Amino acid sequence: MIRGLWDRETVALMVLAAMLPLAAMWLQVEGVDAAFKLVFFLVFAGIWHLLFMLVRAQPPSFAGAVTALAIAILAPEELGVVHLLLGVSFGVVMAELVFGGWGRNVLNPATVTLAFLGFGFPAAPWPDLIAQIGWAAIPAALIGLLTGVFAGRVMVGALAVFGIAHLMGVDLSGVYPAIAVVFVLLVLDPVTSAATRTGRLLYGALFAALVVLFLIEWHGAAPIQISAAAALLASLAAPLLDEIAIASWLAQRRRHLG
Amino acid sequence: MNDLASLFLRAAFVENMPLTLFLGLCTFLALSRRTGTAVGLGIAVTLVLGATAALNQAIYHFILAPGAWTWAGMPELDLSYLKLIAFIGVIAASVQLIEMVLDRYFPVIYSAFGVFLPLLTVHCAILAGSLFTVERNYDVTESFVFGLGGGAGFAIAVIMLAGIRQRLAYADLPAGLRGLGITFVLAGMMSLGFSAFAQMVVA
Repeated sequence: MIRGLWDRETVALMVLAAMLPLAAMWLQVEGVDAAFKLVFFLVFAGIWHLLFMLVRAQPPSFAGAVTALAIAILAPEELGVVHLLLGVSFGVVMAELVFGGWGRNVLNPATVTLAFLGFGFPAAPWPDLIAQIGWAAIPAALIGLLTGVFAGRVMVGALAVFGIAHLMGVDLSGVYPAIAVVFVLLVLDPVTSAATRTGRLLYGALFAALVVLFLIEWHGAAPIQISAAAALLASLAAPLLDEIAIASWLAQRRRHLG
Repeated sequence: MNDLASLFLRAAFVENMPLTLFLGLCTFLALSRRTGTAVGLGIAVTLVLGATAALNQAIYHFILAPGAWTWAGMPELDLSYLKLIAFIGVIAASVQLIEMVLDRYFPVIYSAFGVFLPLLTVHCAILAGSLFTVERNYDVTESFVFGLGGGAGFAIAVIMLAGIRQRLAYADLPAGLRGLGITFVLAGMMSLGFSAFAQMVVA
């Protein structure tokens, strides 16, 4: 092995492993239908990965399975096959594959798919996640944390802001499962989250702040739609947060060293 | 006070100039290659937009609006057809003025802005800011806040895009999408993200 153990696919497998408790709980709750949906999205995302491998010699990645899982859990079910396929194609191709595949992308393909569906079909019936699936997000986050693919600072930043919001009287109880699942599936994605220490804290805090803002001001939106929009905006701002962190670090060093 | 704050936020996020109204896209796309230049452009746009929106609103209200000359015994006089020409003139003049003041008293900032200040003369978001204030009957304070908010929204958008574009150094794009192509795609995705703000109810 020339590259050592820690190449891109190891990380992708670790992320996938972290998702297992969540996926297992979801399959148990939703039953055979859910398994069907998951296979459908897996095959479809796989076809796009295969196509890009043939045309651009881009190695396919296990991360496609994470995308498929996220879309299967979070996408509105009764939207119709054509609309779903359109959304998934847009997300997988325009947000991930044209950038050169997983690891080089700026935005999470599942996030873009959900934002696209939410924007394009506002009346879509978003799935209602029950509390058990929300609780399953905790072991998922812990596994990711232990294997080192999820950043603890993102969790700290988000939890701090959610804690402050809770103390100020924002009611999070009904929307908790959607936020937790979106947080684990989309926000903690190691590729599209911020990469510096301060940047990660800010990134988690920004996601949580946007969710709270949308909960208060955006009336009539489903919890998943709110969380996905916040995840998209947070990952759009992630490179900027990294730049801010690096700039402040440089300024600090300049002050210390003269 | 609260009204002005919500007007500022509305102008910055709900009616974001490049991402919701698609105004000022030329500088938005052309000058977002590095965060340094994007910050310079953002500050320049905020300053000029705030200043000219208030100034143009005052000029419209006291000189051009129908009935503005009632005190001089000419209540029928309606000069509002001159508004476009007047606004463009005012924008060009104030840009020139700001440039000269900076050149004389803050040469460091002047050289940092470089080409952006003269460019703002023909920046459509800045003209649009003035036209919006007239269309919506803002008073001078509201126009100033609206201008600052619109400029801040533009600054946030262009700096965010610059951050993303710097990270594209790691991407392996198809030849046809390199440069401006992927920037359009990214701007579209940012617009998708900002559409969430547009659906909020800001009183």
